[in-house]
Amino acid sequence: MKRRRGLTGRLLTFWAALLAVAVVRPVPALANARSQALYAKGLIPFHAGRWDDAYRFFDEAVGADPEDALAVYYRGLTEARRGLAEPAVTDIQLALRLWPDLPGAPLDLGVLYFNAEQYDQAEPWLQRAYQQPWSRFVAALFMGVSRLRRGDNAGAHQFLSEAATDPELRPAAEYYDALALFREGQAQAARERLTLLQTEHPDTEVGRAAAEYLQTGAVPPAAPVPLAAGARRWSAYGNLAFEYDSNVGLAPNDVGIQRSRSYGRQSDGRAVLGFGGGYRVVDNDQVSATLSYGFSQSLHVNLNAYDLQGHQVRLDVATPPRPWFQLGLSGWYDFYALNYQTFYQEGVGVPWVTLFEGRVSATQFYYRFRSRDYFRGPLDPFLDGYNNAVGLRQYALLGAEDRVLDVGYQFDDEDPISRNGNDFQYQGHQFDVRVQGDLGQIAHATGGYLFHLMQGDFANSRNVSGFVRRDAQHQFVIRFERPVAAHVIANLTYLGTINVSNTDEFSYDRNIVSVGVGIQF
Amino acid sequence: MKATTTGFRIVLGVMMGLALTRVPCSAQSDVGTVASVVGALEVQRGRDRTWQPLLIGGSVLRSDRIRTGSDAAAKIILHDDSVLDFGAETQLTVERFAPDADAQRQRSLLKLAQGTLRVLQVDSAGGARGRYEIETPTAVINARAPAFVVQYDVRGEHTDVVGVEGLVEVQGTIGVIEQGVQVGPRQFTRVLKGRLPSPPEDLTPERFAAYQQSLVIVGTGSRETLDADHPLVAARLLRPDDRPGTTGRAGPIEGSYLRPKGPGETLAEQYSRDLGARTQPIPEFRYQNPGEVPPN
Repeated sequence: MKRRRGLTGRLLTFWAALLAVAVVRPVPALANARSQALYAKGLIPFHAGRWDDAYRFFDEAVGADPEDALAVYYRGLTEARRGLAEPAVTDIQLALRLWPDLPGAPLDLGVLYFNAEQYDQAEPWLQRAYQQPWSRFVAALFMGVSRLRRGDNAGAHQFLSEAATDPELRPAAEYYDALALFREGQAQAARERLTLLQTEHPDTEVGRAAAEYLQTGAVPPAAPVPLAAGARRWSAYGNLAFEYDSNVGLAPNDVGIQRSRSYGRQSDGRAVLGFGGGYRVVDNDQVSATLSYGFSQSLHVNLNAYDLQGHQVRLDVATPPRPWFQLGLSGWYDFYALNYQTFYQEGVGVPWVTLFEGRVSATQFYYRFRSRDYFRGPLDPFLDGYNNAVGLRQYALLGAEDRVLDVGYQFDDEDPISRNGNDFQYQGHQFDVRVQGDLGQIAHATGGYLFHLMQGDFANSRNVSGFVRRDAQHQFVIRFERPVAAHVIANLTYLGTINVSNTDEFSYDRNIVSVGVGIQF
Repeated sequence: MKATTTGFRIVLGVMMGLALTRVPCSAQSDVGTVASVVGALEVQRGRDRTWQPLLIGGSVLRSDRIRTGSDAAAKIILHDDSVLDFGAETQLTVERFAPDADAQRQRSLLKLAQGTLRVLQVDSAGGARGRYEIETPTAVINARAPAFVVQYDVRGEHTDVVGVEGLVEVQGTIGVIEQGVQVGPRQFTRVLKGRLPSPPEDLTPERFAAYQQSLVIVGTGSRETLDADHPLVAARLLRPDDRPGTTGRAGPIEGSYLRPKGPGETLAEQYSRDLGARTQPIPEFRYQNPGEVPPN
């Protein structure tokens, strides 16, 4: 009912405006009779949507009198209906020159530029339409969405709120206003608008979209874009960070042990440089394969013995996402150097499968094999060994494409190779939870917590009482990322580790704060 | 509310049915089509004395009585391609309509009871196509002119005839056998009740425009600007990614929203190689290797 009143009201306003234009304002120079008659004949097919027939009459009318403003204007409108935006703009602008007060023409030009996503050109015409009482609200709607497209969410909100006062325009205005509010970080206000929208206008497309969002918290992803001919296959990154590390050497918390061992807790700062890139060697309907390499180097201010260099070569092979599953295999080789001497190497292989449950949830299962080999003491050969793990991870969207919660569990079995490595043989249970999402337009945030319980298989040689080692490790991660320029992202990260062990020598805590900037292509 | 809506629909349906049955089309010949309407346009058809709304695309039949409301205007295309523009509060009867082939032998007769009427009748060469006789209570206009305006003032009981293009012949109703006057472009004559037409006078541009100003209608009078059926106004999503929480990327909507990567390192290991690669206290190992007797 509201819609009917709104439509009627707008038509009455429109008629009143037309009469006002016809009666009060100067009309254009009168066209010749033949042009006017042809223009009138064109109106019937125009009203019936027979654009080709209408165009023929209007074009003849313009031929009979090139200065017939209405004939030129309606030829432009017909061209627009036929999808010919460029000649439509030309004709409507010409009509406006012939009849500067021609009602509707500024709005038409604004809509034409809006459709072409030329929002800068649309703005002045929409502003003119906004000044006319009969087209004020509809111009506000287009200006609001135009501002939204240009990233001016506050401006969008201003115009869309005004447009929403027109009952006919309310569904679209409220929906796009909700989008602007979401992008402004006002999620609660946005949800309130969507709730109202799905209640009042459930049969509209935007009403259904609002309901879908409110019921499932779902938003559609940008679908995978097929690799077009000439599309970029490579990616590259680089980053530089400055970090503070509260416990570089992982010294135990027990001060007595520190004193007895003649080493203590040492904090330090460091710079960390990294770069790398990837190349998609295979990409087709069946499989994609990406080969990548990454390099990292940390440079400590004082404790140079802990300068760590890393090299990683990685291959990721996966099928394209199917409606309900995706298969993949990832493998990588790491080589590390500590204090510019060989440290250790490891190889990892992970076959995995992801099962999609509907559109907002997915479960991933995997098996991981890892072989680690230390090159030199004091960790060689005690920590050399194999690790087998199985795990699953449950993903769920939290109402937005980039707002994801995932929870994982992993069982792993560490099997050292050397006899004395039995101190470190364990079976582990790892649980972790991660959440990420945008904080409005301020930053992208990631938070995570990980708990890893490692239960030793043999009595630890450091325990005089002879019981097996048991470690419970807690890891905390908070990271904020914010684009600062094209391809450039600044980041702030906190990493915390608390390792609680029944063997005091291995109980420690560690806090790392990192400020960095990265480039991505 | 639902019952009210249903009742309204029933009443509307009955009214539409009645309207269809009460406006017979077959008995009278179709002479024209409504092209534009602003405000009220109504017709009195046949023996039915009630006024029915006449909408865009509606047919005009011979003997129809047509009227416009206050603040209204309309445009009707006749089947000989002539155009009749109605001003506000105009009432006209199509007494007789001569098809194009008969135009040389028979005139179309329109009776203007009140208001303003503009007639456009042109052929491809720009000349008059039809031959119209227009009667008002005080004047008879015989015109083959391409364009002219007739205005009858009920209160003043006089007829004004304005030439737009070509020559218009005007006579008084009391003296149709008398010599009339010929009104040329931008001239006018006034015919008072019981009088002969006044000698034609030239009109100032302002007065000439004023006679036609109220006849100008933009389009059909419906909302025809490009927002009218725009998807945005129709409350449709303009882009697939016009969804809450997205950042404005485009892409089709299909499949799962999630695209998890393959499993890898833990979150902490991803963000710090120093944390991921060094998990054991090296000084402690230097102090005592596993399985060895601790140094004294």
